[in-house]
Amino acid sequence: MNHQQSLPDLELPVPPRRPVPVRVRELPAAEAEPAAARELWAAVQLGTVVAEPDDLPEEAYPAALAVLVKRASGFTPRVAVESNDAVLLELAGSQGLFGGLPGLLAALRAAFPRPLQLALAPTPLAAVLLARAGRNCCITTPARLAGKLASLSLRHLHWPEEEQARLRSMGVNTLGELLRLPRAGLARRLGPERLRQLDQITGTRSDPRQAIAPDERFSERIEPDYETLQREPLLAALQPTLVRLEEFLRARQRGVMGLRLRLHFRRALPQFTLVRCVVPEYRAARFTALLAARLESLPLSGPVQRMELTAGRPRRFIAASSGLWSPGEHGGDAVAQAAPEFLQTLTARLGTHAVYGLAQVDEHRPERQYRGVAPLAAERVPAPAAADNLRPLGLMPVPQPLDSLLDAAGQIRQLRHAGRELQLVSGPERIESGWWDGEDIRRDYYIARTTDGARWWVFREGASRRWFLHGCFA
Amino acid sequence: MSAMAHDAQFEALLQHPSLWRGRGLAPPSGYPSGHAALDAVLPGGGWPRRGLVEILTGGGCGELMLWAPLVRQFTQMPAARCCAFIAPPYEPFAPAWQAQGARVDRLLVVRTPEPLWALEQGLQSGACALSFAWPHAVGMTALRRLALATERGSSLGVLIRPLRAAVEHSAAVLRIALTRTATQLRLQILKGRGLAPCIVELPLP
Repeated sequence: MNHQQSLPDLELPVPPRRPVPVRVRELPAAEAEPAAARELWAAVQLGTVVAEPDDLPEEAYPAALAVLVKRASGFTPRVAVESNDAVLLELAGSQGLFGGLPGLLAALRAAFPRPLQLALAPTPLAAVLLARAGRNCCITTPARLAGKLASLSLRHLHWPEEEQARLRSMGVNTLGELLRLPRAGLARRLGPERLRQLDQITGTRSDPRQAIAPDERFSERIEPDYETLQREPLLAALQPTLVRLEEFLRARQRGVMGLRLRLHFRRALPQFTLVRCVVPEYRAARFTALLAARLESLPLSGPVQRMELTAGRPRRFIAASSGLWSPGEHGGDAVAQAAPEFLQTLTARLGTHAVYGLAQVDEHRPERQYRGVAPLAAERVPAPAAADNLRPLGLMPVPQPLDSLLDAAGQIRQLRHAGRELQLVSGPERIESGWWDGEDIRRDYYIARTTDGARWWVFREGASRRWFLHGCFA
Repeated sequence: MSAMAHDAQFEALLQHPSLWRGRGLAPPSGYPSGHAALDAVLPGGGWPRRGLVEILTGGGCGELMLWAPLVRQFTQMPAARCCAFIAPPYEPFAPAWQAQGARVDRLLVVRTPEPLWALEQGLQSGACALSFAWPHAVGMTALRRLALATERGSSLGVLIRPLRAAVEHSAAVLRIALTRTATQLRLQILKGRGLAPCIVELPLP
């Protein structure tokens, strides 16, 4: 009974035939224009007023540009530099953040006031040309680009004078006239490179730009609660700064190769010290350890009143992933992770010259057959062929003179090293080399034995016939 | 009862689970030292995998030659760790190490007036598979500290000390007094885990 009645309820409700209001989406004015460009480039040119040679010498451009780049990165991450006189900003994605194009333009004009030239165009090169020509215009559609560019003089292209003269002799004075020339002839006369540039100006060819990363540095001033000579309170005062440094570097996925700490005293000149890393580093704990090692070996000229910590230029680094195995276990590798930290700690305390790796040199003079290199240098030099003769595992950097007793005939009777008598066991092996660089040697090497059984590598110098100890068969 | 049966009975007795021998305390395996006579004696059949080893010698007696096979093994591994020489009295001579088969670019030299500090850093960071150090004087506290560092970094440290240090106490897992005769290396093992003091003689290469 209920079964019969309940069925109609289960049917899907039929939509009533009522007029449904259609919401017409009104397009904003900018989008209503035909075919808006996918990219919008703004070029900021060091203005013609500033760019007079007397006002701003050529070598000052990079510094002035760096200021512009810094200001430009407030608008977009895609900032590029064009031929050292203009900064390019890609703004298509930034419009929404500044309340549309009008808001963006107002903000740009406030950030780059008048002697600087500002022009917006769908291609970077067109924006640069317009800015160089001093046309402070804003072109958002590629269709309107050609018309705006047509009247520009050719000199804004900054092509070589010879090419410009050739074009002028052909009766071509403006960009519009140049663009109207047949492409095949143009390519033949000026080369395909120029044709490619023209295509990039009009946007028929893509013009990818490498965005530059702004050079941000971390720098902070620290005032300890009280003036002190003690290392631990100083480190504790540095701690919050180091944590902020880690956050700063983490957010940018960067590391630094070194820190500079400047210490100010009440009655002495400021002192500064550097801490270097072997690989880009970002962890606060590591910085603390390195600074602790550095401060421990640093003589302070008085109680520290104030400190300034400046980090080096942030560098890209590849964060190491921790291994599945702990170091040494099941052959888990540790050299990639532990070695840089270890080397940093050593160099922070002992200095860079105290820690070195070894490399072999193809030479005959024993003291020149190796040299100290940066520790764990990645390059692996192909080793020269090993000598047939036995060589000691330890070599004295400077040969040590031996005491020798000679008999009347000038023959050696006894050789002594550290009060022990030396007996020659094998030899001689003549090593004679180096006449070409003035440090030539002529030596007869022997293996000698002291009474306690120790073996040494000794030689007699050819010219002076004096005896030296040169190695230890350790 | 014949001697043979007697031995068998004795072996069976040794298998008893409630009976342990000193040798059983030793770690199961060591790094092969490259010298068969030494491997036969050392607990675990080779150099210990971690810990502090003391070589007491007058110098020039083949104290590094003894370790050359292990240095070769460590530096030739694909994921090799470095071998450090901390405050050596001479420069490690690259051509000779090359001739021993070691990779020279994995060797590291540290020049410091504080070799014990550098050794501790090297041992506990695990950066160096094998560290040699030539300290001037080492106290018992320092030795304990170094032994702890080897545990933390699971690394092997070799202290090369003069023969007169043999009378001092030590926290090293292995102590060897090394001398050299005309034809062989003479290793007097003073201390080793699960090892009675004994003498090993190795032929010279």
